[in-house]
Amino acid sequence: MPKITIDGIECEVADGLNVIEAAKTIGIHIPHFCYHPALSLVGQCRMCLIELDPIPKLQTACSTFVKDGMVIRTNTEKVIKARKAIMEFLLINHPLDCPECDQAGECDLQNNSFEFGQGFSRFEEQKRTYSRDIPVGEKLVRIQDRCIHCTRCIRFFREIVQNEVMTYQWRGNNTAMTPLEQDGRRLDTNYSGNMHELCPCGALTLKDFRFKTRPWNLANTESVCPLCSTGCNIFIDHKQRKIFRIRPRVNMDVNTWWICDFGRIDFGYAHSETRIAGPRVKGADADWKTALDTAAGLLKTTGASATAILCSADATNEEALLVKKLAAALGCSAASLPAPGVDPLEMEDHLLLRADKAANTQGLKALGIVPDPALADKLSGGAIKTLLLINPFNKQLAAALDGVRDAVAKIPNLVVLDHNETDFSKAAAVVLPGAVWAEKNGTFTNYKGLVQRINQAFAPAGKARGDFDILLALAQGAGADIACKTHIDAYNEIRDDLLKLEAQIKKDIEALQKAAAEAEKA
Amino acid sequence: MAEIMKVVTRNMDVPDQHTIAVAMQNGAYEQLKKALEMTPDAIIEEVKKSGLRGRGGAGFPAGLKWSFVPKQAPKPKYMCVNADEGEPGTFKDRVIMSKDPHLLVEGILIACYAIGIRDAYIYIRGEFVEPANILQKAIDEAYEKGFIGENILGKDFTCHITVHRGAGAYVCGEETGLIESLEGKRGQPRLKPPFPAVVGAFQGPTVVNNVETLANVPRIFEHGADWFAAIGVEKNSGTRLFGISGHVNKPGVYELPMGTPIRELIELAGGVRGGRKIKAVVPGGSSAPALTPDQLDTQMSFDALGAIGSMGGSGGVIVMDETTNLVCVLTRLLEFYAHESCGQCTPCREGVAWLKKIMQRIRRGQGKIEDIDLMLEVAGNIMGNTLCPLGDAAAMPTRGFLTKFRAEFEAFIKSGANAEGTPMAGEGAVQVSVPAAE
Ligand SMILES: Cc1cc2nc3c(=O)[nH]c(=O)nc-3n(C[C@H](O)[C@H](O)[C@H](O)COP(=O)(O)O)c2cc1C
Ligand code: SF4
Ligand code: SF4
Ligand code: FES
Repeated sequence: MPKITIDGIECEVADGLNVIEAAKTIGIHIPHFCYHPALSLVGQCRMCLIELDPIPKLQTACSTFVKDGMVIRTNTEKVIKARKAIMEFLLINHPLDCPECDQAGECDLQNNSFEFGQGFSRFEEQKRTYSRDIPVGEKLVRIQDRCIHCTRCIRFFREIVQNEVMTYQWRGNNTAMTPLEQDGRRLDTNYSGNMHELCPCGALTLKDFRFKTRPWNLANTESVCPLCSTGCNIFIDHKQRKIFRIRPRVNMDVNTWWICDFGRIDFGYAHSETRIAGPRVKGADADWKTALDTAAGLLKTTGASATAILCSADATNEEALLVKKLAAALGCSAASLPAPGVDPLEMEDHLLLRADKAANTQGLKALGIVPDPALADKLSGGAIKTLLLINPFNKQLAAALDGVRDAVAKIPNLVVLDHNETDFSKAAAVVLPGAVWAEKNGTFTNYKGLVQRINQAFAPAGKARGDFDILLALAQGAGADIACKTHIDAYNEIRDDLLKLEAQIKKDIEALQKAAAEAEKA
Repeated sequence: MAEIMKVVTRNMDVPDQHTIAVAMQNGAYEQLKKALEMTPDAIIEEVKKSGLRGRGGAGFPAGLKWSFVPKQAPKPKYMCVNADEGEPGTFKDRVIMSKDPHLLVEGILIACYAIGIRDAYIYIRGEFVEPANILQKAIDEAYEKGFIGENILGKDFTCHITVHRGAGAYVCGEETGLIESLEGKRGQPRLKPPFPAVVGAFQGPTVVNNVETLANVPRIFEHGADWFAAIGVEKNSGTRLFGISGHVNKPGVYELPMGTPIRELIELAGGVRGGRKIKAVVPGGSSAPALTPDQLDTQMSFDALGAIGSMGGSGGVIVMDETTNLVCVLTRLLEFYAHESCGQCTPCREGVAWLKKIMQRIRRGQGKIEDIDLMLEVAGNIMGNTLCPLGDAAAMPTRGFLTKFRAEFEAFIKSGANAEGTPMAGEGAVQVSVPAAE
């Protein structure tokens, strides 16, 4: 561990750190634009200049790696002057259109200008301009006038996405970051949205979020993306019970800095027209008490062997526990359906996306709710007369139900618990409006067995209720005596099972990786 | 008065020296034969002893540069011969390549043998069509004769030489920009370290040397390092091919011992046209701050020019007589540097274009006296803060002209004259009367 001195503070830092990261460990912020820990080093923006004894020339902190005995200064007159100079250079051609720029409020350029720049301009010449609002794929809009040429975009697409959809055009002062086209179509990726955070200014904006609101008006709730089994860590940014955007939350064990564009943009179902407005019994609106009593009564009518609970893998672990308890009280089975083509270790791409498009397949497995291949036959053969169908809106369950759609719709005692309407909810005897993930508390277990917390951003829409509460009422209605009344009680009850699975999967993955590495060697 | 000393240019007036037959009559490839009998280490020692410094601009000791290349490297090593010759005022490498290409080839081969390199690339400026053709022909002939290729002269030494034509960017003369361009990428300099000697072309250790640097190598082996070291002045040994242009009667390339005073070179070049007085002299390519008439006794060596705040640079000397309008000169220079900036680093991309715009405004007659201090500050903010030296190359002459000739810039601004579209010097140039200094 090299010992270094930064601004007179002696400290010991990890090997291999650059000076930006080393300074961070003792709370010293070195401003930077082009550097990003995930991307290659280019040393282009020159914002991170520091003094390094005894070199007379300023050095870039991003490309200076700690060595024992290094003496670094980040607060000298020379450094302060250089930062001012770089800020001035970056702003002379910048349109300074913060009042209409989406990045304002969370903009590195704005923040660094405020902290290290000066409040006036000495530039009296004509500013450089480019054509505005050029689309980069379907999801981004480029405003090149604002660009500070940090090349993070080019490097992100080249190095992380491995799909070069942007490149330099022209050179010198006229350099532009230009989207590439093929057959007259702008190239696109499943990860382009990450430029929303990665671009240090407002040059690449997210089409989906442009001009919707100011970021400082949004509440940020920490959660996990439900759209596949990776479980990327996210912020749900919301206002007045409405999601405005989803952003990645750094978790080096899961998603590092990124999320995919599906997770970022496909949250419309939370606020869609097809949200189930309220409880229904036989197609007619009902109050919750009537709906729950009717459902509980129906579930007990046809006997255990003709009754089943079918559950999507989007249920939280805590909900899954209640499903189990309800099944136990009814004496029936609780299962999911095998999703076509799901291999828990098969990556769908090299980055984040996984084939398993449900949030909690592993958690359900830990609690014994596993795909039951026989269930589909029972459903199509008419053996099931009573079915509690939970969340058939989930894409994966919907796909698995494809072949038995008509048969299920004809089940006489069909109780559907879901947040959005489907053919099934329309045919159901009782409909119980549940919550989307943003409206829930609980945990998901990702494909690696990692148990991750989701937090409620806002209460369920309209008359909907949390799935946990609905299942609790159903189980109690079925006569079960349930001690865990909250998701926290439930988590405490299953904690050991979940952690056991996490350890087991970790071991399995390590063994697989070892085998793969050995196979590669041989 | 100084005398021309023909070391590198010795055979350049010989008709058909560019053909291998004539070149060999004049001793071409004899030094290669000699070198191949020596150990690589002994060759590097000899070059170190000669004191040969790089002629590309920075004056870095050639032998030392070669010794930085790791002996054992997991990747192949490369030689990149810098024949980009982009620095305004510089036109000496083209003479070597056109007149005596075998001298260069021989130098390359000796260097490659010494460093353990099997592949050399000559990165030649795209506009040099004729020199490139001559060079290619010379290389083909040398291949035929077995001086290039597998097992050269029957020894355990294989070396290939490829001519690679650039596409016209000054920044591709910067060694790492050259390497990027050679690799087929956008020509923009790389962040250092790693230096090319460690990670260069195609990720392998790479030596980048100027044409003239390598053309000196055979002479060192012909006459010995001591002979070479004795030419010129201390720590600046050998000769240089000075390309003198501008307002002299006989512009051209003159080979003189390093350290010759500038005044003597100007005299050799026939003096100033029309017997006019000198206003300014750029001593080493446009990036070198210009000298004033009282500085013309300065020796043309890396160290002496460095000591007075200029540079030996590329050896391109530009003489400007008293009719020269320096506002036009600096504007033109900044237009060049702004155009040639690759655009990747902030101070150069933004700062140089800013300087250019201010100068263009001044030239239009819309300048303000404060613009001069502003420009000095902007140039100071570029200096030393860029990724490659191109930013400095723009800032240095800016500071040089604005400080040494400030009175002329101030007088021009005050006069309100518009010099847009006028000649830079001579008839038609906008003249302003500069008040004499107190
Ligand atoms: C902007 C820029 C342009 C350059 N252009 C050239 C050039 O055209 N020819 C050249 O030999 N060196 C040029 N150089 C210097 C090279 O980077 C390098 O130092 C040189 O080729 C090394 O060769 P030497 O050690 O033999 O001098 C340039 C440097 C800079 C910063
Ligand atoms: S568009 Fe954004 S990320 Fe790309 S170079 Fe410009 S400022 Fe950087
Ligand atoms: S100094 Fe200029 S030419 Fe050199 S890297 Fe920076 S922008 Fe490019
Ligand atoms: S962060 Fe170091 S140069 Fe950009």
